[in-house]
Amino acid sequence: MLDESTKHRSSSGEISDAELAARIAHSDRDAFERLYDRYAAKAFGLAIRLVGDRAAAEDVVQEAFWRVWRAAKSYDPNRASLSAWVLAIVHHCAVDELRRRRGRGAAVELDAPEREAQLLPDPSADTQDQVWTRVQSEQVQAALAGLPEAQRSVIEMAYFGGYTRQEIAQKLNEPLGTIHTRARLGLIKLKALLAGLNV
Amino acid sequence: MSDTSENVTRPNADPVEDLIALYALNALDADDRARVEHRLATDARARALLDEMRTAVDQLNASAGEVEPPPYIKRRLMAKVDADLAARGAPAREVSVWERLTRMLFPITAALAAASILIAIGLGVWAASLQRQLTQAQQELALLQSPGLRVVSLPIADNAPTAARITFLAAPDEATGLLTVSGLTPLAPNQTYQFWLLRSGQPVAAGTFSVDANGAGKLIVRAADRIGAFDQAGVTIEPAGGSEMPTLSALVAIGSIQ
Repeated sequence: MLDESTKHRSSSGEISDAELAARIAHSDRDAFERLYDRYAAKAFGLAIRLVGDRAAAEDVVQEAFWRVWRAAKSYDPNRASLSAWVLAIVHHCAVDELRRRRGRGAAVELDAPEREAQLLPDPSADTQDQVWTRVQSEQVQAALAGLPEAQRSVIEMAYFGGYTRQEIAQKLNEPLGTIHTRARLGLIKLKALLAGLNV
Repeated sequence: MSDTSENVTRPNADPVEDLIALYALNALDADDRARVEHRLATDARARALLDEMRTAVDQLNASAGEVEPPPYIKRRLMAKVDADLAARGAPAREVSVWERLTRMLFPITAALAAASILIAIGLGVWAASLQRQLTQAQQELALLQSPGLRVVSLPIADNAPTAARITFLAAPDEATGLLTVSGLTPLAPNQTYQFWLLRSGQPVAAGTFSVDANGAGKLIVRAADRIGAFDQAGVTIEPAGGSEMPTLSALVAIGSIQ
């Protein structure tokens, strides 16, 4: 889980992720700027994939990095790489945006064709039910495709759609306990599939 | 493809632990989230379970690919960070001549940032107003730091006050700009000044603004396209709330922004 943090160690004189995180926790502006330069493209790529348009993704990225700045003291390098922590915050902010849209009545449908057309590199892809094809990595796509359909649906609705467990249970007409189990088994299986693919 | 074991709720499942996978997926509402976080704060086993669940989610996050964000995101963010540091009384860092110049032009930024501390001690409406001004000052600062910033004075129409000055500042590759005006006549409540951007002679509404008793005002312009895509800009007087198309009954200024 910490492998990302080793990618920026100082063989070339570059500041490591661990040092960056420690400095940002002490309100070091320059360290924060370096962190932004290091991860902004990943963050923006993720935000665009999740919210579907550049303008909203810009807001998501700005809010996510602001939260990184404000919450840097809470980052625990023993539990996640800095990259993973930053991207988890981006995902959180994107989910907030998806829920706000639904709150405004602008429903974000998982299979909205125009949104998919904007996002997917392959316009011939089946856009009706393969939400996971937003993921660029073919290996991760393959891992998602390898999940049992019921588990994949729950993960898609939660991760890509930003739905809460109650909303997922309602949409799938299943008890909450079943949704919990599918999410848990789905993530465990996805982890195993990804490990099998050496991702 | 469905596994029948998925349809059985585990009889001895810990109700909070049972939510951890959905917590990792950000699929909990605020109440559920607080329950899980309370448990995570005190239970190493729950944290280990979360770390296991997060492995797959982290890989999903990392697999989205990279897209370079526009530079103004970083400028806005760093302006916000600077204001935050100023509000907390952090020591000033070394700044470039350009940054010093822009700070001289906008001393209100630091003052308002410091004043925003008052929000925390409960001076509600006043502090909220200051916060809005601070946000606007930050936006203006970020705009003025745009590479390729161009400053254009719009020619004043014959029937507008001769003392009027209307200046539009924007970088051609950005979608935002700053309009500053002085010497305009304050309008009746049922009227507003409206700014327009024109592309091949077709006007696009770009915001309304008012002026103070001295005739001064400003507007942060958010265009639907990059400013360089427009060739002219103008200001008219319109009914309060603005118009979809200029009425041209009261043209204040119009000119090229190329």
